[in-house]
Amino acid sequence: MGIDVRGLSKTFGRFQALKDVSLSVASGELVALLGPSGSGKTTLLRIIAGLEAADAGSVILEGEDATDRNVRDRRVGFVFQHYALFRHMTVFENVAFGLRVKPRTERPAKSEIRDKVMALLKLVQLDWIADRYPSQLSGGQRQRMGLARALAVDPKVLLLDEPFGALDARVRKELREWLRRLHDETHTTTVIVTHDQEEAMEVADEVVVMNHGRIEQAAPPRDLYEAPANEFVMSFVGPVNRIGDVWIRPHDFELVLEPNGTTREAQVERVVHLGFEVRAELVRDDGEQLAVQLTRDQAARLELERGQIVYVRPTRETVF
Amino acid sequence: MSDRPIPRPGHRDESRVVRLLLIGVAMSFLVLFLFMPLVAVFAKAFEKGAAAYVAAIVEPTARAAIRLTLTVAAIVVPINVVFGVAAAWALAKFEFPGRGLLVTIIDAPFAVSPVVSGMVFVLLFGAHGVIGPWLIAHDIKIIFALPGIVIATLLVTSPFVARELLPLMESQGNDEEEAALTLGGSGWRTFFHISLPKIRWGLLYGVVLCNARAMGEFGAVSVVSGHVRGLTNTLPLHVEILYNEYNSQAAFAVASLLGCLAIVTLILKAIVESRVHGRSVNQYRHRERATARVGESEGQSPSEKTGAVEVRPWESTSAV
Repeated sequence: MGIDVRGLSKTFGRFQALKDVSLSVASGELVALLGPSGSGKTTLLRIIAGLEAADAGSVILEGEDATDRNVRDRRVGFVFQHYALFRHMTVFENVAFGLRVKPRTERPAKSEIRDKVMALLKLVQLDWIADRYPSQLSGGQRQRMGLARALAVDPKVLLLDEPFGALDARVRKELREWLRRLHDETHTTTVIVTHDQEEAMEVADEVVVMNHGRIEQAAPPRDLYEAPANEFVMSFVGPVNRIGDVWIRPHDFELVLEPNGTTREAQVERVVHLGFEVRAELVRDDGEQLAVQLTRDQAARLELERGQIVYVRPTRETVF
Repeated sequence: MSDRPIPRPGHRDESRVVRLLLIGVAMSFLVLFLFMPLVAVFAKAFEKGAAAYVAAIVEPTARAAIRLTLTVAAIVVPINVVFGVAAAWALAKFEFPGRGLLVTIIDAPFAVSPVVSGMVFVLLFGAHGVIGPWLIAHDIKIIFALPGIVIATLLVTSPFVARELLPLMESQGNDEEEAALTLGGSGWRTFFHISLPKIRWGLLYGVVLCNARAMGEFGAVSVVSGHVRGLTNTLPLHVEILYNEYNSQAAFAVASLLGCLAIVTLILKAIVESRVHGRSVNQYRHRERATARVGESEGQSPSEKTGAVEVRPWESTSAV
């Protein structure tokens, strides 16, 4: 097992950040901690890293109990949301830091350090600007350098705290795909914290949904979406309609122009064209507001427009 | 500070008259109260010629005063650097009971008249003071001796370093230190290679101000020194004695040394200040230029030269 966390609790003042949390991450797996702010996901990550001490519980890394081990002896790679780069050092020196501070007996020779750092910089495609300073890099470059620095010490586990949160949407998406490819090459056990459900689903083998200091569900992205454990998970991973006790995803509706007995009448309030996807807001005859997702072709076939009357039927419902 | 004019809407431009008036008032104040006195000091110092000027400075009691002042500064500044860094560190990085009180107390020497600060030590260590009799019994001289002068100066100059570092450390946060720890850096290594470089300009700024005050302090030192000529007279005290003896040429010759100290301090202060406070502006401009360069050189990155098809989409958004 890569990471084994047992019964972690943590309180800050009067705020309980974690309540008896247990979690296992298999070696070589990439797991995302997903949740709203204040759900405890960053606290959990920092406790795994040793940057925070738990009030109760244990942390086992690669089979070794690391609960009482100092952060610098845990061999974790940590990537910070705001990069935390050493601003007075060049890109090369930043990445070399973890190797240069090793005790004399373990420290590689100068030439080895050089080769290793350059290889890492090549991996994150920054080898051509190794002598620049962090202030001369773009946000995306800074975070790739942060990753190279964390990987330099051959960490047992790689921990990323909202690594792409400070970047703009496009760079974030690109870096996310790149992280996934990097993980497929290195197979380092990785935990990434994010509040972006799309990011979590896209990048991770398994997504752990957290809320109020507890784990609501841990499952592969598809299972999480198809079989959410409770209402919180249902509403947090993707948009959803709630009608009484019934939950319906926006794409789980059938729209037709003629009533067929199982359908109900609804009026189109608004249509938004987003390319492949078309979103429509409907008001059913009983006054229920429905958010509906269609493909471009479906919308075109219905000639969907504002004020139009359509007949709607849910194709899939969830009740908790 | 910035050589880039800040664009302002026309209607906010003050009229020419108001502008000239404000500049005129500020400049005449500077000339009248700062520049002219400084010139007057040097004029008076040289009124009997260069030989008399030199004689006043190399005279044994003057040399003793210079020596004493340098000695006091040499003891006080390092101690206050250690105290200032430790205090700012504790206040910026830790939450503890009494933190607010300590922030206030650090400022106390600024709020209290230096004469009072000196009196406090006479009350403590003087012949009729709290522990004075015990000191006399053990033949330890504090008041009217070097230790007293050092202690009084220490107190008066203690806020400079801490005051300069505290806001700096608070704004910089802890991320880089945490990053260094996860990379295996020891506490000392992290302090000297990460923390200290982060605050070096702020620290130098504090040292410059602390040193200027340590050499120029009059009130507190005057109370505890006892004015023993050639023994416990610092430069400012020596100036006063000469002046009271109607030896104004010699008084001003010695005073001109303190004048030079002021000029050097101001120059250093200006240099360091531009480093500390101009950093953000400069860095921003620097980054703009750097980004432009990133854009240029990207076209020449190896993969593109060889024509190899390589997906590097994130490079296109390096302006983040």
